[in-house]
This record gives sequence, structure tokens and C-alpha cells, in this order.
Amino acid sequence: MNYTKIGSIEAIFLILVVVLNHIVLNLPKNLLDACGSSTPLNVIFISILLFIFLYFVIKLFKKFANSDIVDVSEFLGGKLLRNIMGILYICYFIVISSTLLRNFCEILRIVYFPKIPIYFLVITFLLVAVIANYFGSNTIFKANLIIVPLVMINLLIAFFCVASRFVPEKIFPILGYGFNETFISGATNIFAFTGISYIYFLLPMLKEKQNFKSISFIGIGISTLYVLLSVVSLLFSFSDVLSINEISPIYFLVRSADFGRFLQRPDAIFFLGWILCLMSYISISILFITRIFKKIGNLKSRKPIIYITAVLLFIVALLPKGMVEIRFIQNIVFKYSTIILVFVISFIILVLANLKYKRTHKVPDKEADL
Amino acid sequence: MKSTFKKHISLFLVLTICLFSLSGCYNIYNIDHLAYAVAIGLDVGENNSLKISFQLSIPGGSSDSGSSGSSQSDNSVVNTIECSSINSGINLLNSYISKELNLSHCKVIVFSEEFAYTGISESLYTLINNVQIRPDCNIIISRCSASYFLENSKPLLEKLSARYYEITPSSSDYTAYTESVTLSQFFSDFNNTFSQCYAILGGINTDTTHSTDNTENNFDKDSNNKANETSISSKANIENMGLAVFYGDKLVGELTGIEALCHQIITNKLNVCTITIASPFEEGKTISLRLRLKDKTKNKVQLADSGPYISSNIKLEARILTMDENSQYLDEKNIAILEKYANSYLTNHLYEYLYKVSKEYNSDIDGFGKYAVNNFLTWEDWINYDWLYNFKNSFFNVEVDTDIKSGYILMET
Repeated sequence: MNYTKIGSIEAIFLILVVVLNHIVLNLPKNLLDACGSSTPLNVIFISILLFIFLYFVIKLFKKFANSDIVDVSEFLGGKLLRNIMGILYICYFIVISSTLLRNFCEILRIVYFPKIPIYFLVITFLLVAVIANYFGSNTIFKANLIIVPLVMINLLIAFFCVASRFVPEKIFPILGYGFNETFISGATNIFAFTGISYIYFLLPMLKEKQNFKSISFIGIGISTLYVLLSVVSLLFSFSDVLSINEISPIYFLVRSADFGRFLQRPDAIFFLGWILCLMSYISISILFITRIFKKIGNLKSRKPIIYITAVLLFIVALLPKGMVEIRFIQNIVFKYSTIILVFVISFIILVLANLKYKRTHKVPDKEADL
Repeated sequence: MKSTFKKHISLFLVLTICLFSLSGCYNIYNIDHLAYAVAIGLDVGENNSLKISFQLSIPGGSSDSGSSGSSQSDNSVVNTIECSSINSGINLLNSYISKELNLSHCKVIVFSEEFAYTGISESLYTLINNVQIRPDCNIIISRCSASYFLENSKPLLEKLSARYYEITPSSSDYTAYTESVTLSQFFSDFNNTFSQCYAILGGINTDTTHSTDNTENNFDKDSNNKANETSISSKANIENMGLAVFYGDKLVGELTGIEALCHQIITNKLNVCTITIASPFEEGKTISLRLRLKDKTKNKVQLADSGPYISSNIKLEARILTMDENSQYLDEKNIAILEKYANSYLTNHLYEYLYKVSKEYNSDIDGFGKYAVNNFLTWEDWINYDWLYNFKNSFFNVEVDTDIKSGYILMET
């Protein structure tokens, strides 16, 4: 498959844009709900697990240097498995990105546009994503290259501005809701690093494939740092974060941040950054969805399906009746679908594909010619 | 050809978006349609469950009007509504003033003492739930009714009510007689297992409210007052002094100015303040000291069978403000005597304050819970211990070390 090749920095920012969007919405709160005061400890623990997992994923991809997970599935189980995996990933990306879109639009509506219908806001984001996709992947990645650092700085400022309220003692009781919740059932918090799902599709897009390992580790490393910073900021600065459910904990944090008397309401500046970040994320999601569509449908171009994907996202985004269903999708569906699809099924496919490769290729270091 | 078409389509889309997003909408709300509340007051209703007062800013009212007869500031007006809830009150006011009430410039939320004793939980959650109300607006517990408080808030040195409300609580930065407590801080303390919430104690200074209490030490009179009790002779005006102490959502007691100062010493929030102690050199005379924290107060909590044992190690730095013709402050011996007096004065007040909040009010407004929590491994253990309930069993050990530097311009006379 001929893709527009992307550089290492663009690839790292691609991984980051996913996590940053989830941080802005409800990810830190999900983690805090599961572990309480031991969440920082839990994040460190799951990031160690994640790096081990990532190490194996990179090892398993060594034999498939020009393939993504859909290609690997085809190698393992033929067109049937390719189509199944393709459809699973399409559904996953559609559900996750559309729910994220809807959730953000709901917040935007509550805070700034109470009189504007929700579909109008959803359409605005999708329109931008469709236009960006029409201009091509190069435009999307270049735009992402500008947006992601802005949002990274934006979030760093937010964390820094609440630092005066930090009470480090709030890390106690050190085991939070218990040892089991921190280290056993808490291991399921690995879903927080959903950026890893994009790593499965990254390899064929890279200009310098030898950098795949460093790109993945740096991307996930920075993601870990941001997740850790967000949970630490929330836990140390708000006592009520464990008992109250806000529309967005990071928005709550920004609202409460002290910027002095001169700059009293800077949350709009933060929102601007988050809007751009979401636009970039939706554009990337549509790009990935259409590429998988193109692959499993043997299409010549992905452009005709950009509209269809946008419509699908629009419909799925408007399906939840309200915040109850959105939160259910984000807390339960997103968590378990990420664990099952990204961390279990995809990994098993990679392991089995490697076994098949070893059995069929007698020369061990020869790359699969897919 | 294809590229030109693409460019035209893109240009068309960009222009269309700009057209809709940048031009004014027919139903847009602007300042003419909105009434801005700068303060909200909540009282117990007489005919309904709630009496809510809104101090509304009058656009253009900041210019000199020349009249000074009204006790209320000329640039604002107070409207009071009896209603069942805050939101129904807002609705009723909207229908009356024919403008939509907007709370985004609200600087102060005033609860009357009477209302706070019954519990403010519902009002608090409702206010936090409101997008327009900023988390940085101050919470005041008024010793008079909230409507009376708002009606008599007459800015003396400020023309804009909103700015007046914004600046007034910041006096605590240099007096320490109260503390600027924001809605966000109050709510965070309220939803907390480590500490209890507290608020600014406010009142209206009138001739009838001046303190008449005669304590033995005349130097203690200045700071040992609450709002409504100070000896300031002025026209009716806002007076913030002391703190209102809560247990859960209910007001349980009030602290004086000096107790508020002790609270800030314990919680490391003291910026700078002035205290007056008896002169160790001459009977009947007093010496004023300018205090600031030399080092962060070190609090430690140990859990004993009889109750929590709380120790505070306080290090202060002071400069002498009072001078007379016989001041010998370059003599180490004199400084040591003065330091001893200051330590003793502060230690006594700190003990009084700590035992008052623990035994009398059982309210950990100093947040000692955060030092106690490291004695527990899991959240369940901590919750089962019930710190907020057990705080009343605490006993204290306070060590104060005041380091007196010198005077300011004069060292010795």
C-alpha cells in the first residue's frame, strides 16, 4: 500500500494527539475513580507494563516491516481475518472518536453555546475533518505537528498554574482503594494508553522504519508523563475530585487555576487549544478509518469514503441520549474494547503471525514480502 | 484544472464558515440584554424557604452622580426575592427586571449566619453547578442578614462595586484578621475527609455594633474581635474580621481576628501581620511587631490511643514597629526578653485557638487530617478511622520560635 510517508516527529505527535484528547476529557477521572490516592502509583505501574508490552509488539513487528495489523491478519488468516480485523478496528475508531467528539461538544455547549443545537457543533468539527482529509494526509500530519505542541504547552501551563494549590500529602493513603485495586484490577487501567492502537498502523507510514522503536517508546513515554501529570495535578489540588463527577476535570482545573488578577478568565484560551486538538484527532481518525476501508474493500482511492465516514461518525456521535450513555461508553465500552482489541486480540494475532512466519520461512531474518 | 477547482471549493468553504461564524446573529445576547449581579446574598426566607438578594450593577453607574444620601452604592441596586430555590429566584428576578440575570461577574456570595446554621449544602452544590459563577468568587458568612449586608455595602474608596468586592477580602494579605476564601476552596474543603470548610466572617459596622467588651489586656482588644464588633467609627459599611467555622455544611462557630491569624500561622498562609504585645520593659505600655513566617510551620500528627497528638513547630520573624525615646533594641538581652514575651503571647493564643476549634467546634479547619492520613495504608482504613469525628479528641503541642530582627529605620533611641 502506498502511503504518504511521515517523519519521526510527526509519528510521535500522532500518538500524542490521541492521549491528549482523552486527558482533556475524562481519562484522569476514570483512573482516579479506579484507584483513589494510589493513582500516581498505578500510572507508574501500568506504564512499566506498557513498556514491556510495547517492547514485545515492536519485536513481533520486526518480521513485518512494511505491514500494519490488518496486513499481518491477512498473512495469518487470509482475507477473512483481514476483513474481521479491519472491521473491528473501524468500529473501534468510529465509536471512540465519535463519543469523544460528542462529549467535547456537550462540554462546549454547556460552557459557551447553550443555545446552539448539539448537531451543529458536531458538524462543525466533522466539516473541518472532511476538508482536512480532502487535502490529504500530509496536511493532517503537518497541522498536527503545529497543534500538538501547542496543546502540550497549554496543558503544562494548566498544571503549573494549579501547582500553588498542591497538597502532596494527598498521595496518602499510599495504597488508595487497596493493593488489588492498584496493582491487580488496576492493571486494566492500561487502556489509558489507547495511542498504542495507532502504533499498529504506523509502520507502513514511516519514512525511517528503523526509528519505529524509538518513535513508539518516545510517544508512549510522553503520553505516560502527561497522564501522570494530569492525575497528580487533579489529586493534589482538588480534594473533591474523588467524590464529584465534573463535565471535564481538566476544565475544572483550568477554571480554578490562579492566573493573577490581570488574567481572570483564561479558560477560553485553553478551550481554543483543545478545539484544535480535537479537530486534529478527528481528522486523523477519519484518515485511519478510510485507509482501513480502502484496504479491506480493495478501493483505488479513499476520498469517496471520507463523506461516508464523516456521516457514520455524525450518526454515532448523536446516538447517546445524554451524558449517562456517553460516560458509559467512555468508562466501560472504551476501557474493555481497548483491552480486548488492542492489548489481547491484536497481540495474539502478532504472536501467531510470527509463529506462522517462522514455520513458513526458513531464513529467520528475511522480512515477509506482503 | 483540478487543482484550481479544489482551490475554489476550499475558498468557498472558508468564506462560508467565516460568514456564519464572524457575523452577528439575529438572536445574539449582548450587554443590553443582560443584568450583571456582582453579589448574591442568601437568607432564610420568612414566607418561603429562601430569601435571595442580588446586587445588580447599573451600567454606567460608576460615573459620579453627586448624591450620597443612599446607604447603597450608587452604581448598583439590590433586589430581594422570597423563593423556594436559587434558580427559581433567578427566574423570578428575570421576569421582574426584563433582562437576563448573568452571574459571570459575581464576586461575592454572602450567606447569613442564620442560614449557615441550617446547612448550606444544597445552595453550595447549586452554585458550583452554575457555569456563570466563577470558582474564585469569595464566600462570606454575614453576622447580619445577607440582604442587609448587601444593601449596606457602600464602597468608600472605590467606585465599582465589583472591584470593591474583589479587593476587600485581599486585606487579609496584610492584616491576617481574616482570609480570602473562594468558592472553589470552600467547596473543596467541604467535600473532603481531611479537613472542614471555613469562610470569611463579615458584618456591617454601625455605631450600635462597636465593641464594648472590656477585657483585661487593652492591647488584646484590637484583634480579639469578630466582624460587627470592631471599634472602627464609620458610616455603615462592610467589615470582614474573623472566620466562620463549619462542620460539614453547617456553621458551628466563629473566630476572632487574632484566631484567624493563628489559623494562618498553622496553615502556612500568613503573609504579613501586626501584633501588639505587652511591653516587658515598662508596665502599661505595648509593643507592636510586624510578623511573617520565617520558615514553613511543621505540623505532625501521631495517632495515640487517647486521640491524635498534633504538634506544630512555628518559626516566625518579627520587626519592631513601636519606638519611644528609651528603646534599647540593639541589646541582645532586651531582644531575648522581647522574643520570650512574643513567644508566650503567641503560644497562648495558638493553644486557645487550637483547643477552641477541636474541643468546642470539632472542626479541623487547619487540615491536620492531611498529616494524619500517612498513618494509614488504604482509603478504607482512613474512612473507618473517621478523622473529622475524632478530631475533637486531639491534644496539641505548640512550639513558637520568634526571631526579632530589629526596628525598621530606627534601631535604638
